[in-house]
Amino acid sequence: MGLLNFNNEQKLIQKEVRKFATAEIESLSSELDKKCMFPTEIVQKLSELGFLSLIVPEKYGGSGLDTISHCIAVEEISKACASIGTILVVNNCLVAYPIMKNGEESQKKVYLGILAKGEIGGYVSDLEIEIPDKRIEFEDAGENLLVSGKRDIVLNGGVARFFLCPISLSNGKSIYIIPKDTPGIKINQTSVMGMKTAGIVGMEFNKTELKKDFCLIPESQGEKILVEIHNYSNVGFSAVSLGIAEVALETAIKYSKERKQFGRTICEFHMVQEMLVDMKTKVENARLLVYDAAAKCDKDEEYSLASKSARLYSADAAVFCGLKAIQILGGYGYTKDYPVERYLRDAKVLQVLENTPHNLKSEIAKELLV
Amino acid sequence: MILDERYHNFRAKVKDFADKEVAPRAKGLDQKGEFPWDLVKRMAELELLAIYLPKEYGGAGLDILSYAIAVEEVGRVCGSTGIFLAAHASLGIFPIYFAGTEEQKQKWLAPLAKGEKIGSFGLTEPDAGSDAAATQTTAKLVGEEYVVNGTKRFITSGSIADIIVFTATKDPLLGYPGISAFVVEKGTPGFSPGKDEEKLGLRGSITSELIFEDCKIPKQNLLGNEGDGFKIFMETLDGGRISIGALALGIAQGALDASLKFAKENKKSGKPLYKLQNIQSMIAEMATNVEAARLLIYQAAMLKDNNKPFTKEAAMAKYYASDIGTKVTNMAIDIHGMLGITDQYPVERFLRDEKLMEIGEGTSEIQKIVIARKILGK
Repeated sequence: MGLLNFNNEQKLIQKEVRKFATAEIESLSSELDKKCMFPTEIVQKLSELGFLSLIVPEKYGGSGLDTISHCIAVEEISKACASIGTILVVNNCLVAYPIMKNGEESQKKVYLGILAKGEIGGYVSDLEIEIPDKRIEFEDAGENLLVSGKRDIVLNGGVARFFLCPISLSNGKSIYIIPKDTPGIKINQTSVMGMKTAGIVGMEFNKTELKKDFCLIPESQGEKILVEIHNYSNVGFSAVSLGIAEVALETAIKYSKERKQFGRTICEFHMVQEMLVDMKTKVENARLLVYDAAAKCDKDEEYSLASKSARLYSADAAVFCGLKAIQILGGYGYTKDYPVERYLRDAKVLQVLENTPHNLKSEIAKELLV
Repeated sequence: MILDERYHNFRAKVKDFADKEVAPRAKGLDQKGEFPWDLVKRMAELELLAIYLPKEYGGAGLDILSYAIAVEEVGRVCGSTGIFLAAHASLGIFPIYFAGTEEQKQKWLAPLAKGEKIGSFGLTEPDAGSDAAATQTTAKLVGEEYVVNGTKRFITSGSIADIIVFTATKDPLLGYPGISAFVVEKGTPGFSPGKDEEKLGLRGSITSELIFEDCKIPKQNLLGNEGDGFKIFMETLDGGRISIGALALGIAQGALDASLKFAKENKKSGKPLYKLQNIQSMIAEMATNVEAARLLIYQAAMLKDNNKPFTKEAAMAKYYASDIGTKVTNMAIDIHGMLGITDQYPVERFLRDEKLMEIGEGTSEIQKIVIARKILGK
């Protein structure tokens, strides 16, 4: 037995989710991608099974699973459709987790309750790059905060009941809860190269009043909590990347055993084998990093470095496997007749969502050099 | 690289056209999957469709290096327009120029050079990709005509082309010696375009199936002699690889330019991006890769212009440029961060377009085999 040693409950989850993903998702994902459609029916089924609140404690109506189980579910679902894997990660890691971590009891009851009922929560991404025409302006309006400006990436945004929105204020960062029907917010279409079915949109704030009651994390703690949120979501996102890398490899192996050129199956050629070997090595390395980070998190051990390494490595592995799978499928791989071009697009989106490889490297270096 | 001034002038002319007329169209062509008929017309007016073709056949009478520069400059702003140009000039025009009789050249080259007709090249088949000798399309001589049956796939500009060079075999069992090259004109009974592909990138270019069903082709449409097909397509692909390399280079240059602009205009935590060492590191790597690719491509082009052997150099140029092209466009997205995956910036399109350069006109794996054979002398 290798290092990975799932317990019986986790093995059962893996088996059941794999069954569900194969039966209910796999055959639909290409069509959903082409139509850029949010997978309402599949998400409905997933929510009935408790996937939208996997990590939410049972006392708030969630499934109360550990991080490893969450990653197992996300990995299996992402193999069938990475957009849906991403929807789950956003709901669990970027929306539920911060509320669990820092919400007041009343906020937990309301918002974790909404998620546990199978509703979607959105997350307004902070680019962390200062673009002159994309500034978010805010002013204090007595008790409340008035916000104006634009955000380009809102995860799960198209269908969310409420959003979490990090905002940089003069004394630090704060996170607000923004209900969908808040006056002064407008959802914009945004066109992203991949994750076409994940409901990614843009958002405009026009003197939007953010009430102090809806402040989830005050300025004084924002920086620290955001680091924790990112550590936790890194693990989730890396499970999506792992799923993509794996399915790209599986597709490439299958194709290479069927496709004949020069009188033999192309898997007999060294150059094809070499690509498959490189892909496999990356997949297995990514798997170990992802579940190592998840296990550390579940044991309440320090997992900040592990989560960043897992994210950095598995995101790269997914892009690599997407590119190589296209290469092995050749002209066919470049078309939408096969799913590998989607794997690449999804993998690349994932690699820069909420963080970039070079930022992650800087953060990892900081931890190494403490 | 130190080039003669006339190349700088020529580049400036194409760059001006690319920046003013092609660049504003690139995003829309990609999103709508629209073919740029108007740009074809403009390229014809600017004599860009047959740059290396002698004036006597309607070309611009320049050389391969100028042609490579033009593909690079167009590709820098729009991969779709670039691949059209490369396919038209290298694949549509070249085999006729290379292997055609004077009569055939007179008949087909001028309309192609002037853009009155669109050219294309049908080599690849569903089961004959890297293994081009596995051609299953047959051409049997019956009286004064060849009767052609078979299907071609992944043919650039296939369904819109008027003049298509294609390969077919006397007998699939014969391998290379059985293959001949022919010209088929649009509208010939028994010849029809099949479906157009939906692709990851180059979505403003057309990639089609071509279907031959008892299609009768006059004997005069044979290029060279029977059995010359292999020689013709190998020579065509050698040259084509220079243009695909140039396109890969152009797209990579576009990604580098976009990254420089982004890094200069924007900040992170109050600091301009270009001052961050990790951004500088990526930019330096990208620029070095792009410059090295440029040297390899221009070298291959100059060898061809001087009638020197260039097969190995063209394969190296195409292999290297497409390899670093994917890397460079990928890094460009990273530099742009989350905005890089949106259509607000061109870099995600550059990556999608660039990936084909590692596949079309001989995959990177095939280029390596060509290079190894040449180096080993075996």
